[in-house]
Amino acid sequence: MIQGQHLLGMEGLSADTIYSILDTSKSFKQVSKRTIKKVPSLRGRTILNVFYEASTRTRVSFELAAKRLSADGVNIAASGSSTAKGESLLDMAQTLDAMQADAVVIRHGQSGAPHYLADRINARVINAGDGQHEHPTQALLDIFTIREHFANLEGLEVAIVGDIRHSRVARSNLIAMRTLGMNVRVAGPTTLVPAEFEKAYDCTRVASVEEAMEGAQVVMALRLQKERMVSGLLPSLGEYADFYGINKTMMGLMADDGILMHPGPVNRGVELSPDVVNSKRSVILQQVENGVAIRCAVLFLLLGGETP
Amino acid sequence: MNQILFKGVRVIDPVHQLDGDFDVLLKGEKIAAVEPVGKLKPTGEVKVLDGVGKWLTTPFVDLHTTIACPSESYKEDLHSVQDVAVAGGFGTILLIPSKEMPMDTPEIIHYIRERADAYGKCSVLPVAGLTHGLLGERLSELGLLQAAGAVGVSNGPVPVKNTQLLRNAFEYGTDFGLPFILESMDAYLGEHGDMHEGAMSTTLGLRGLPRTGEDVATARNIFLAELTGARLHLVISSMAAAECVAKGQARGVDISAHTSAHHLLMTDKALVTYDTNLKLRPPLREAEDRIALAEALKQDILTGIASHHHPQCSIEKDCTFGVAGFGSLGLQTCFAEALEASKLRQINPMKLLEKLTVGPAEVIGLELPGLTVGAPANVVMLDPGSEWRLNSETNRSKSENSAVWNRSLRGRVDFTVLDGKIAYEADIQA
Repeated sequence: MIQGQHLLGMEGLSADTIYSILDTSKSFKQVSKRTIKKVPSLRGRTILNVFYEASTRTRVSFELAAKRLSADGVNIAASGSSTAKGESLLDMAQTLDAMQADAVVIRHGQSGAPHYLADRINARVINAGDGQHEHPTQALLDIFTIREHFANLEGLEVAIVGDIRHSRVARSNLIAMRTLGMNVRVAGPTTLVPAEFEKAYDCTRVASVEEAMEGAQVVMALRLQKERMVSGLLPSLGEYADFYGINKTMMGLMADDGILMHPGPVNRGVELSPDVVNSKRSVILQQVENGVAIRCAVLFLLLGGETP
Repeated sequence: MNQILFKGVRVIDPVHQLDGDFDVLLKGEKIAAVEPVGKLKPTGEVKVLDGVGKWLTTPFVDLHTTIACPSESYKEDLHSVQDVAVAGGFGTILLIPSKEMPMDTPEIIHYIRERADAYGKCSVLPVAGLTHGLLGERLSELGLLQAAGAVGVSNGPVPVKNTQLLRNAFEYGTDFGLPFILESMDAYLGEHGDMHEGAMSTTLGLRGLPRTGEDVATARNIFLAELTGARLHLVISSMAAAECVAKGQARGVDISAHTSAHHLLMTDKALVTYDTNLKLRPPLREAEDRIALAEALKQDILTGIASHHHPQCSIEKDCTFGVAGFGSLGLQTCFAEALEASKLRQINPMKLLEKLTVGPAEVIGLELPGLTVGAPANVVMLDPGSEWRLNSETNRSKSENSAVWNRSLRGRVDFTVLDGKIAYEADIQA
């Protein structure tokens, strides 16, 4: 369904496409449980992971996915100096093209960088996070995880909490969740949850984290992106933790079958208190596990490999 | 003596509010005759141009072109900018200072005027930098800059943070009768912005330039003009800023304003592809702003439409949006863009051409002679129905960063005649 295309964002993906990626991921999750965790689907294909920003989870996850599909994967840790203008990215695009890559997985600090690359190279481009724009494979693995707990996604009550303004994870999830008919509430300090989100994503902004969590079946906490904050958006981390952090008592507000998610890495004691991170409701490690299956499915579908 | 006859052309002269079909004869450097169609029988060698279906008007005046010479003459220089201007139907352009060319010393003003006049295709008028290096710290020598040939003062794209300094500038500069041409943007609201702040910037994950930044600064500048009696001209892109201007005018403050043809034609929705050629300052805003701007033109709250011609090279534009430079080409496509936009609020041709000629001219006190017998032979022939594209074949600029690059445009400049000389002639295929 998405063969021969790029995956630049969740924007524009239909519910059918999302479900087909999720269904394909299911078979790849099975592969991960085997003793020999490898299928020959993408044998002989070249996948380059180009990361302009530091990443452990996403990079390793893509790397493992390529290996499980028997593709040849190479990691490139590029230095992403934004002062060097775009020359470096243009050079990178030409270099990648010359290497005859089949797919390029890119993470970049600038919103729109994968689109820039997609216009200039022959390979399929997969967005592994661009600036404050999108992180589609994260949203897909999040939805996959949610689906493991709730058979029917339509009408599900979701709360996204925290630094939404700077979060590409929130944006990709908002698009995907609305496409799939889930109801999303967002909460956090107004400096981090601008009013435009309601209009842009058809979600509901509520006044407090408690109100967002009330009866929610899925609670997604976001990492407080300290490094991205221009001074003055928050007075202190301590105050943030007090008013917007999620603790054990607040977990009681959720629906009985509610789950707690976080894209990681968690700032323990800031957005989540340490005891909730490893609580029964936390599915944070499942998210990581499912990341590999999702990335297998995306690579497989984009490059048109054979059935696993 | 050179003779050019425009036969059966629709003369639209905003200077004399004349609109009708005529034969117009240019002889040497003067307009020799404006007569009913078929009456003129000139003798001697005459270049005859079929004017049926075309408009003849006075050459345009641009209030806002930004180039940096000689430091960045690879993007545009004082000669190439004139080639672009006449291809866009302009006879006069104002150069606005920038960080790269702050135009803050009499020597640079001299240099610009001399270099430009030496080429002499059209009139290039420098607007001096309000503060040294546009840093907003020390007032430039406004009197000496004016004596050297500056026609106004501006701090270019850099907001003047210090309101007291701006007040001083208004008071001091007004003694010399200089108009202040200001882009209004608060120094802090949207300091790092890339595009209009709204739903679109939110979904694209780009940093916003909020309307409020423009509105707050516009209001401040108008109140200061009211206090000091300064002659103020503002660059406007938001609905509320246009309202501020209207209210100021109603109170009798000496203010005028313009917007660019890009802002009349496009909105932030166009940025969905991260096209860096649409990265403008002020930014493209929303549909309601666009409509309000067109309405403000119709109601004469805005006095002009400017090109906002700002060439950038590929290093500035062939990159991701966040690091790309601001600006688009504009001179060559200004008429076509404005013509298309004029349909939004049914702005008639006379009004449209007013906003490209007498409106902008008034800002700097320039008197246009218009299309009358004995006046200098300055005319532009326009073909409002002709379709064309700005592409590497038609482009006259040294740069290619046009917001409407390769887009189908309707409304072409066919001839630009300045002081009896054909400054530009479109390559029309028969």
